[in-house]
This record gives sequence, structure tokens and C-alpha cells, in this order.
Amino acid sequence: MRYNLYVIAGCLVGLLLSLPLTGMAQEGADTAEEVVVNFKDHLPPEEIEKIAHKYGIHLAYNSVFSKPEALTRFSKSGLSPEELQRLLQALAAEGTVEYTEPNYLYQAYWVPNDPLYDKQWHMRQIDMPGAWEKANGKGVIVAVIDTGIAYEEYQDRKGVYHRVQDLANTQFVEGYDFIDDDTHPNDDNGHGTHVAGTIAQSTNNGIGVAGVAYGAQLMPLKVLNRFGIGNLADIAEAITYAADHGAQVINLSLGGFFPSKTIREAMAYAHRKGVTLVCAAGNSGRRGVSYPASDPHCIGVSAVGPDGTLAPYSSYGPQIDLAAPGGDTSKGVMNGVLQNTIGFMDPGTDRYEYFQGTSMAAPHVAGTAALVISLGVKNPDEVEKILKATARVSAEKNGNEKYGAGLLNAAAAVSFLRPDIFAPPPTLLPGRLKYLLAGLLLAWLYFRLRREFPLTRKLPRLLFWLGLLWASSGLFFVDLFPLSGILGHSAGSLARAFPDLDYPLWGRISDLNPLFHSALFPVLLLVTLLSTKSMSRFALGFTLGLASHLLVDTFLSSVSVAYIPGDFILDKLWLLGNALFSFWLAYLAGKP
Amino acid sequence: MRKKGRVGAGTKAFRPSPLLFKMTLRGIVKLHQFGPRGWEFITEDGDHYELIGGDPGLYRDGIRAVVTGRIREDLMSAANLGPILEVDTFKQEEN
Repeated sequence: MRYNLYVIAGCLVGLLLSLPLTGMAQEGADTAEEVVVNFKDHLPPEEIEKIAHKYGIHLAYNSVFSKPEALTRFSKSGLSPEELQRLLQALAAEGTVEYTEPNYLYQAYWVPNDPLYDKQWHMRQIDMPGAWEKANGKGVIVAVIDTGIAYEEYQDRKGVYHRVQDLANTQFVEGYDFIDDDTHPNDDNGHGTHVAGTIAQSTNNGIGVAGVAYGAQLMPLKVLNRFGIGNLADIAEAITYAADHGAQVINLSLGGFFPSKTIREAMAYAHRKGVTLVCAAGNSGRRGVSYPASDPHCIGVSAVGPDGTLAPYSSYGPQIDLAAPGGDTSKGVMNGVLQNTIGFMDPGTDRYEYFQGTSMAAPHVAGTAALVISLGVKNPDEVEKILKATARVSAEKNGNEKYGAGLLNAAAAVSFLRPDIFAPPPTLLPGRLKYLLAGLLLAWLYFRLRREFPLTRKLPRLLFWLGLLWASSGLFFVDLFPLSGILGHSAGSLARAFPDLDYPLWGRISDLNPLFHSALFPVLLLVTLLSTKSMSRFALGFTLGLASHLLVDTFLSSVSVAYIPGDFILDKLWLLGNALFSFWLAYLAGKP
Repeated sequence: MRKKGRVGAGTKAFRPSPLLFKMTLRGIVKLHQFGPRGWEFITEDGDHYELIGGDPGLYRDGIRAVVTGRIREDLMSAANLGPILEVDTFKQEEN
């Protein structure tokens, strides 16, 4: 009798776990004022009128574009929920109706109040309004390695500097001037301030323009002199400085023709420290990507104009990773990228300038990277993967040489973490084979150590293997059953290995949840189930399975664990320690 | 993540010169407005360089000139136009 209770409790826990996965698709169905009815394509209006007459509703075309698709809508006001339900069922049964669904009113996106935002076509091109709904880059430090930034009131023997007006609310961390070797990296060219503005211009402050990641902190690093020229040693040192002083993104709107070993080493170092590097592809207008954009550790960015096609000046080639708006002033000055900066080589003045160049494209990507990082993605490879996976793919011939993965889409990038949209479909064995093998191997080792096979009865044996499988590789075979609806969701969550449930429940794809990847759940299960005869075997199997899963994550995976500070060695120690502890627990608990 | 190909692959054959040796080239000066401006030098062979240094008189859009200078492999720039040619002397030619 007691076992039955435990089985029921187990089922309830399983159901609870699966509930968040079912999504809230029906949420708000009652808030919609209208219902969309989509008829079969090219259905003549007379047929639609017939249906409308039959059910006493007024069906209107959604827009002038709706006729070929036969997309119509009607108001549901005056209908009780029961009447509506019956009506929808009847409509769905009509042979000419493809589907019906509530026509939700989508809230208009937040638009910043900066008066010149209207002229920043480039912000809308990368879908910033949608992105700002979710993130503004708060907590992320972006290093701008450039001609400096006009960020402080300062005077030296070379001139008088000031903070440009639309960086008023932007936060800065200490940077360095590698040209003059001091801690005042002010801009005396205008390029760096413009680039910095695209990343984190003060936004929604009622003046000027907007920036992509306006909540981020900027680190000004001056390596280019007032003519916009700098040497390799300074650039490499600045990259190392940024990596050592907490920058999570580095923007390099500069480049040269020749690869540099010094810079390559600095970039590899920064990448190892978890910094996302973004570089401008170059402005040669020809095939051949400049350095460091062509470096594998850097996201190389080409430039497009307002029409979304490659700008005539942009370099291109196989090393391009992404395209972003860089403007095209050959089609009118207002087709440039608009930000606040100083006058050219005139630090005393304050202007709003339309610039063009891959230099302007890169900071859109750097800012978006900061947005993604602010949502919890730590690994630069993961950041790059997200930016690429969410980019708008070009249909153009040779599109990947010109645009890489496609045109940056900030809104899609920050939505990437929504597991309901981007959850990878559960796969059968291949991805989990190593987990399964590790589980079986550990079970074998366990039985060798215990010198016995204590599973003589059928039910405990079955429960042991179920527990082992669930915690190591997941019950992958449930994917074979074509289930749908809530049943399918529950089965889908069982098909995942237990520690991997952290992803749908917790919503982060870039790192592992430390509690799901620890001995916590084995301890809980063993404590509650050890006194039972059959279910204790389930707990035992589960504990061994989890230990094997953590071992695979320790040695055969490069994913880091969330909330664990420092480099990846501590993450590995966490996984390994918990794996060994779990195995030890199972060993103790397995005493007959 | 991995990228293939050489840097500059696909550009017209470029003949690197030793850092310290001067070279003389005939071509046209072209101004690029990227915000802060960049100056390009397009040679008769169709090679492209970014011009820096030398006499300010050279920096006029569209003029023909014979330029003596050297390639600076140790520099990078915001204009990012191509190999950087540091001008030592130049002689303007009739268009």
C-alpha cells in the first residue's frame, strides 16, 4: 500500500515538472476581441459571404492583401463563451475553412523619446524596438578600442575635451589612453565617440538619439591617434587590458591588411576569458576581409545600407560572420548612421553626424551582443551562435560571403532564450549516446564494486533501470510514441535526461543549472525512498544515472555551470565533485 | 566559428615590400567620406592603398601623383581601406 502512495507521489512530481512545458498557449484567449477565420486560398468572396450569412456573422477581409489568402476576421462581441465555442466548432467543420484563431491585440513596442530617433533607420533595421522590450545591456561592460570617447571634462597640453551631450546618462568604467599613456582616453578624432554612441548612447533621455545597449557600461580605450591611425602593439595591449578589466564585449572598428601574431594572441586570450570580440570587416569595397575581422575569435561584420543590401564600400569574403547597418551616404547623407559625436578632429564641438562604414556596422553587433550577455549568456561562442542563428538570411547569390549568417536582428537575438520557441526538438539516441553508455558503464562498475546483483525481483529491477536511464540519458524511447497535446509535453520532458530539465524550466541555454547538476536531487530521493523496498531501487538507479551524467558533463562537454565564479576549472570541479559524491551515496545506499 | 582562407584572399595580387624599403607608385588619390575621412591611392596596376603622412598638398581628391613611400605593416586604421602606404615624397602629375 505504501509503495502505491510513493508511485502516486512520483507521478505527481512528474506531472508538475511537465506542466511548465505545456506553455500557456491559451492564455489571454478571452482577451482577444476578434476571431480570425482563414479560408482556403483563393476562395471567392461569394463563398465567404455564404458562410457569413449562414452563421449570422460579419466577415471582413483583414486587409487588401488578404484576398488571395482569404484571411478574414469577425468581432466576437455579443457572443457568450458557449456560443463562441459552438460557432468555432461549426466553422472548423466547414470544408472551406482552414483554421480559426483569436486575433490578439499586440501591444505597440516601446519607442524611445529621443527626438532624432526617427532618423535612426538603422535601429529599426535591426528591430531594436522589439529588443528593448527585453534588454538594455545593464551590467555588461563594452570596451571600445578606437580613437577614444568624448566622455569627460578634461584639459591637457593638447586640448580641451568634454563629454558630448547625448552621452550624459551613459555609464563609463575607467579606460586607458595608449597613445598618450594616461588614464584620459578622450576622443580627438570623432570616430570613437560615434561608435560608442551606437553601442550605448543615452536613450529615452529626451535629447538626441538612441543607442543599442544603453544600459551597458563603456570602457574607452584609445589606440588610434587623431588621424585614426594606430600601431599593433597598442591595439593588442588594449585587447588584453579590456579582458583583464572586466569587459565582456570588445568592439574593434579598425583594421589593417596584414594579420598580426601579437593581436591574434591577445584576441585568443580575451576569448578564453569569455570576451565576445566584434570587428569591422573593412572598407575596401572588394573581396578580402581585413584583420582582425578575419580572425576566428572575432565576429567579422560587413555593412549594409538602408535597403539591406551590401554597402558599396564594404569588404566581403568567407570570413564575414554577420552583416549590420553601416549606412550608404552615396544615396544621400541621411542614409548614414546617425549618432552624437565631436566635430572631426575638433574635441571642443558637439554634433550629430551621419557616418558610414563597417566601423558603424560593428557596434550594432557589439551592442546586441551586450544585450544577449545581459540575459545570462556567458560563453562568447554561444553569443556568436545566437547572433548568427537569429540573423535574417539573405537570399542573394553568394549571400554568405557578403552577409555571413545574415543581417543582424536584435529582437530575435534577445528572444532566442525563450525555450518555447527555440527548444531543440528532442532527438533520439545520437546526442545522448555518450550519456547512455556512461550510465551503463557506471552501473557495471557499481555492481562490480558491490560484488552482487541485488535486483532479483522484477519490479525493483525495472525501477532501477528506469531511474538510471532517466537521470543519465533520459527515457529517449518515449519519443517514438507519436503523442500530442499535454501527453506529448509530459512525454517530451521524460525524454530529456533529468539534469537537462533545467533548460526548459529555467530558460537558459548557455550554461547548466548548478542545482540540477548536483547531488541535491539524488540526496532528496534517497532520503525519502530508501526505507521502501522497490522505490529505493529507483532512487539508487537515479543516483547512479545522475553521477554518470555529471561525469560526461565534466569530461566530454565544454558547457559551464551558472553562478560558479572564475574560469571553467571550478565548474568542472563542481560537476566532478557532485558526480563522485553521488556515486559514493549510491554505494552506501546499495548495502543490502 | 572556424574561418577559412587567407586574409586578403581574392584581392588583386599584392606585392608586399620589405618594411624599410621605399617604393614608388603612380596613381590617383581618392577621398572617402566615412565620417572621418580616409584617403585611398589607386595605382595604375589597380592596387589600392590607404595613404598616410607626407605633405598635406597630396591630399586632394582626384589628383594624379607619383608617390614614394613604404608599406606600414605595423599599423591599423579606422578608415580600414587596405594596406597603409606612408608617404615620404610625392610629385603631382597633370591630369
